[in-house]
Amino acid sequence: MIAAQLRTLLWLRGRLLLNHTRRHGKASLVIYVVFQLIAAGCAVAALVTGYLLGRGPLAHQPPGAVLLTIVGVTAFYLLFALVGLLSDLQQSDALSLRRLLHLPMTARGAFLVNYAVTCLGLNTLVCGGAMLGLSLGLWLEVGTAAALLLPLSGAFFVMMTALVHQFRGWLASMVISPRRRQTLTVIVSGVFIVILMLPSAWVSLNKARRPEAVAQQSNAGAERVQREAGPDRHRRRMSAEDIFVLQARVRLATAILPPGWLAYGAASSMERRVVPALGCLSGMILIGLWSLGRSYRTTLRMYQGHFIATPDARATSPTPAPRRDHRERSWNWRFPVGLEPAAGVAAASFRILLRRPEMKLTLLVPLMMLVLFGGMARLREAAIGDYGGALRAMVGAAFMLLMSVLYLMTNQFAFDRAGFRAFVLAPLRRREVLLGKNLALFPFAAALMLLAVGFCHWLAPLRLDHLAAVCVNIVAIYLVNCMIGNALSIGLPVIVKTGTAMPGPGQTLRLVVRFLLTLASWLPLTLLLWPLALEFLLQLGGRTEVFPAFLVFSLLQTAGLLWLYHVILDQQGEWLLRTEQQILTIVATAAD
Amino acid sequence: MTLAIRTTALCRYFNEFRAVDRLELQVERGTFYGFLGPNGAGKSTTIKMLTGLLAASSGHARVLGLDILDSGEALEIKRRIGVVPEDLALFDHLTAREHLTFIGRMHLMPRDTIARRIDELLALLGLEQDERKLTLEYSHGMKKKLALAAALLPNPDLLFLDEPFEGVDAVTSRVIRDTLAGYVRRGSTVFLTSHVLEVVERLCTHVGIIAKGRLVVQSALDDIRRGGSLEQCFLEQVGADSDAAQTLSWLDETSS
Repeated sequence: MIAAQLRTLLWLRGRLLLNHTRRHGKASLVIYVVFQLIAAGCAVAALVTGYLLGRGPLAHQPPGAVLLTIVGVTAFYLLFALVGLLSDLQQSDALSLRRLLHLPMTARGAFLVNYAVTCLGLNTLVCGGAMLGLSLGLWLEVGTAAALLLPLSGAFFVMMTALVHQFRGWLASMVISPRRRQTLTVIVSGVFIVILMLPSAWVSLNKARRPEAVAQQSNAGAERVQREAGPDRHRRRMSAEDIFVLQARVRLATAILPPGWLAYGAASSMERRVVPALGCLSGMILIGLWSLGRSYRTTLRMYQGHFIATPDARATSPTPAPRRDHRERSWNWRFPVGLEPAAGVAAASFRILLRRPEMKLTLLVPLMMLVLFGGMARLREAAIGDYGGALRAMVGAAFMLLMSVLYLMTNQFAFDRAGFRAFVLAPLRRREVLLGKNLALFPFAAALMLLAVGFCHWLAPLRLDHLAAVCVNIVAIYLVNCMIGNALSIGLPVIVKTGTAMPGPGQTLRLVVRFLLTLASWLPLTLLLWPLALEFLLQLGGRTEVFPAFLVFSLLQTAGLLWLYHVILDQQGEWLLRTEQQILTIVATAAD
Repeated sequence: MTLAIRTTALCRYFNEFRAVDRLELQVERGTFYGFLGPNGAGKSTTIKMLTGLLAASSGHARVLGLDILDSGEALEIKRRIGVVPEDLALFDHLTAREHLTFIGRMHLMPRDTIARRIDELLALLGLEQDERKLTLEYSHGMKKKLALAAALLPNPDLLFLDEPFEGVDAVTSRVIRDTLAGYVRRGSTVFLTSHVLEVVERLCTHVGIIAKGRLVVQSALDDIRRGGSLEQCFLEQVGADSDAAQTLSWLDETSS
């Protein structure tokens, strides 16, 4: 690799970044420059802070404190490395080898450039600065006990950058197929969300289990001290125990997991246990070298053209004999009472939604939240009564909708631009398009809302009539959101970047207005609670034996909403007809 | 006879599917070679293998006398060829001038030469007015012109063009044709794929026809013409005669 080519590739990367930022407007460019300055400031601040910590407070703390500090730095590094990977996946213009393969560049040069890009990440600069400062500070203050910190830090960053680079290379080889790229984006996003939720889940679980843990760990002496010292002393003792347990668990985790070896090695070094520290050092170096070797081989294979989008091959391969399966049947949905055009739109939209990675993420996120936070809620469950349970189920269902498909419902045409073009060309009444789109999303929305209701029922069983009423209200909640979603889709469509759920450039005001309107949509939803409130009042008056008011009025309310939806759909269809070219210009032309 | 391209039993499989099957290609230097075939016949796969974008499953390929499967020689080949690949390989967030500058710098060309050639290419291909736009704002035809400019910039000995006339307007198409004809006249070689038989018939001196991954015809265009038209030969070789007889059952009915 000639140095000139390396310089050219670095220039290319800078140019791409600058143009990409400039395209989002001058404000975006200013934000970018400010962000870069802040980043540089952060790197310097991390270096200075690390140094001062090493020279000052941390030097006089037990090695456990050093362990926890370095674990914090490692967690920060891993979090931002994952953000970087997500960002890489979202960008269509990443410095991909595919666009360079036909140019006269050596594989070694391509590898070096790509690895340099990985090493120059913000997280590496900030965390590297912090660790450099900390290592130097501790070394100068503590002496030889901290001498291994510097090589440990170096080995850690070699290992992590090599692993991240290897993973990026693997992703690059996987995302040659655009569809696989979208699926991977969903998976990485899902993993990212889970990782973000884990600390909160861990803390909540610990809180829930605290009495049990205290009971196991306390002893007679400690209880005597606790009695003598009163409640404040009790809190302090608990807190010290917490820290002790936390340190023990973190130490075990850092000893087992390679990203923790920097912290474990540093703590061991401070404890003058040289063998574990050297073990961590050599382990990280070995992993780093192995990983660099693997990623170089991946680069070489890519350079030699071993990776290619396999769908091309499938597209050109002989088509197998047609097979009538459930997927084919879904195109032949039939609806009663002359709903045929809407059924066609619904069937097509449903199939498209099933295949879209955004939809997978949309379904995945609330499910993950339900599993994580639902489990915690179960542990901390307190009695809330019949009406509290029904209210929770209603709010849970509405919240589930808000967290999942509402984003798609309020911007229906932008997520399927090509499909919307087809609908604009089609000789259909526009109410049929809206109805079909609403019907297509209903199975997803209903399934998620039922799941939320089922979960609430599991937490505290609902009365049978209340359960039935809440299920009826699922339809009511969906109808209200359909009317709001249709209005926002027609009146305030937002450009979405192709293949992602991210909004396109220059839409800040539009997004803010949409956010406020979505928040305001909770107002009509709260009105749906009147049957429950009515039954509650009747119960206070001792008249609940007469009839199940919540269920009966919910049925009446849903029937009324169906009629209202029918009337409004006509109006919204007319509105869509008048504005469809404008919408097409916004969601299709501008995005393309 | 000096060959610009020579392949021996070149194969590429995608799992069980043979995209290119024992290809025996011979392209003389200084010829305008048209590589024809129906959709999915293996044209783009062949170009990808010959330009180092895709590894061959088996067989040999020599380009400008060098082995493309040898990584050391492949680098030298890439210095001497220009490519308009199927996906155009453009960076969305570069302007036309920036993209061409990048290509020139990757070929280690002097800065002033790059600037001069870019001016000429942008003027020739009618991209002067749009040179400050990002390529993601370009139409498909404009992108194709930019990819062609990038391929021509280093003044290569051999040009690989995958469907260069697809989506290009008539005026630019004429300019490209004239440019390529002049390029071949000075002794360089062009290897292009196209679906437009008229273009191939007008431009090419030699033709190869690929069907289902196998090379079924390879000859000088004049030799083919002696036996009939290129279209006739093409349809015969790709076995499209029986398909042509098929009609749609409802076309004869009165429209409702």
